[in-house]
Amino acid sequence: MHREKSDILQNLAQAVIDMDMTRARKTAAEAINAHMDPYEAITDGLARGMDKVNELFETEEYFVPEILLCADAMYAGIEVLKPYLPREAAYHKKKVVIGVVKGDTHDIGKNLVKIMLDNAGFEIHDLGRNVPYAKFIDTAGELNADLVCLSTLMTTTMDGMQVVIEDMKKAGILSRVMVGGGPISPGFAKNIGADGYAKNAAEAVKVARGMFQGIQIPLVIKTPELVSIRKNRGGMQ
Amino acid sequence: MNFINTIMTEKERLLKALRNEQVGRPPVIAPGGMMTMASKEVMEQTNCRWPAVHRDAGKMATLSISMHHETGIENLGIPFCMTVEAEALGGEVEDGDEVTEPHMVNYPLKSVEDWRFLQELNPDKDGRLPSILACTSLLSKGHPDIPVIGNLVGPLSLATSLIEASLLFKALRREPEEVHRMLGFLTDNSIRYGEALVRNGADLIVISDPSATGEILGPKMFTEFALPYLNQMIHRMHTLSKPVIVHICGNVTPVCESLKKLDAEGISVDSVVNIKEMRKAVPDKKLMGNVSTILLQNGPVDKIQKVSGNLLRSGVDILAPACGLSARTPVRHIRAMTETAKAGIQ
Repeated sequence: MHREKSDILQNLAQAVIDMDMTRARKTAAEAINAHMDPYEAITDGLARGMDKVNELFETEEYFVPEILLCADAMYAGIEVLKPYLPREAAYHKKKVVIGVVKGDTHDIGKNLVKIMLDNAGFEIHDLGRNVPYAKFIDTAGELNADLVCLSTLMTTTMDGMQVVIEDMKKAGILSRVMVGGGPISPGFAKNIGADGYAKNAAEAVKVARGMFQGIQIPLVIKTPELVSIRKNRGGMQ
Repeated sequence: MNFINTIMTEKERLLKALRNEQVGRPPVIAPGGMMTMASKEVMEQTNCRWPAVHRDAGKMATLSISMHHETGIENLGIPFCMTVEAEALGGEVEDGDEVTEPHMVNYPLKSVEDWRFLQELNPDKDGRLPSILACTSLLSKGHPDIPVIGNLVGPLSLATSLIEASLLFKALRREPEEVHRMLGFLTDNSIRYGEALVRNGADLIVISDPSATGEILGPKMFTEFALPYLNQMIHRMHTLSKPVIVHICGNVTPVCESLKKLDAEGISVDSVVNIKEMRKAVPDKKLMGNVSTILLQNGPVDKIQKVSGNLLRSGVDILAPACGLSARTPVRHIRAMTETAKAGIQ
């Protein structure tokens, strides 16, 4: 039993690394059949695979196409496990508002950051691309967001980031701000008053985690319901 | 050296630089297209303002010529965005405002297979292409001594203007053959537009392929999906006796080996790329770049002069903004770059 479980976790991680949606789904179903904790299957299986993908991205073995397909495999596995999870205790998660500032419709970088932050246990509110400045401020205010992530790939829209940061301060919104995207430099980020800068999606996770250091950000929160599910099913460990 | 400077026209200097002939000092250009050549200050002086300019051949020509005269940039380059081909193929474009360039707002393709629904491009009829051709002709006839640059978008970047980038990037692995068919179609159509630009007087072609960065694709995908189509475009322009410069965004280090196989005369690189290292990696190419676009916008002047001077000493063959100009760039900042180039290598 124990051997089987570690194999399943390993296979889940490997399915993500191998960009294999079919295998991720199949292995997730095996995890359910083996009465495994669905949380564990995600955090110690799929998400661990995605962490490895992150490393492969940093060492330039994987590039953007691979990251996108790995994320698809991870989500395919999560879809299978989801019905067995109790309602997520979302209130414990740090809220992140993310979007590409107005004037720019390139959202590939933003999507990568979204995938990585989601995987790292943040609650993501994606505003999409070509987002008007006021939309960031309104959403951050409504949600009482912990972090606002602004992305642009175009030099022509960089200044919009500063407008958003200034308007947020004027509106009294205390969310922290992280900026990134092709033309953005750490110096620029500092000049416009951003709290953080990330060179790429992998770094975005580190920067975001750093901002909320000391605060545990689990992928999902274990609740009493789960414990009872586990007990009822039996056979665990 | 001075003698060469006085008798050489700007057009001769740029074309000679690309042909590896003696030019005394490197030309200084801003190609246009994705690497925009416009400043709000000049728009106000000439009353040729974005966004109206984008759909008016006469105003486009006036703004381009005034940019040349006011800033000392040694070329004419239109359009002021990278959306004309995508729009002509059915993409929806928002014209932006006085400092924001036109950009795609709606992707006509929902999957790569959908490329089959695209109509063959007719440069004399579709979208803004007729205005761009008319403007190219006006510029070329009116200013025979200034190089007129025809701007094209690379096939992979054109594809990401027609379909959401993440769908395309996933398809590179999931359905590579279909992506190849799509890129083949786009390449043929871009070539047709490139031929029309040349017929209307473009002296050289700059292909910008910002989505085909080494950072996004990695070497394997770049070699399979970007390189062959760029080379098809380059080869066709060469049969029309026009030199080609290819601009690749971001850090190109991962794809340096592939860039050796690119048949363009020149390679233009982003500000993150070190020219000296790039020279070692691709010794046979003319290197263009790479004064930081944001430095040009924000200044100060003495730093722009210093960076431009350093680039000239590093052996850059054509001095240029790394990713074109932000429309908010003051004219005196652009002059700091062009005057440094014209003073020669100190």
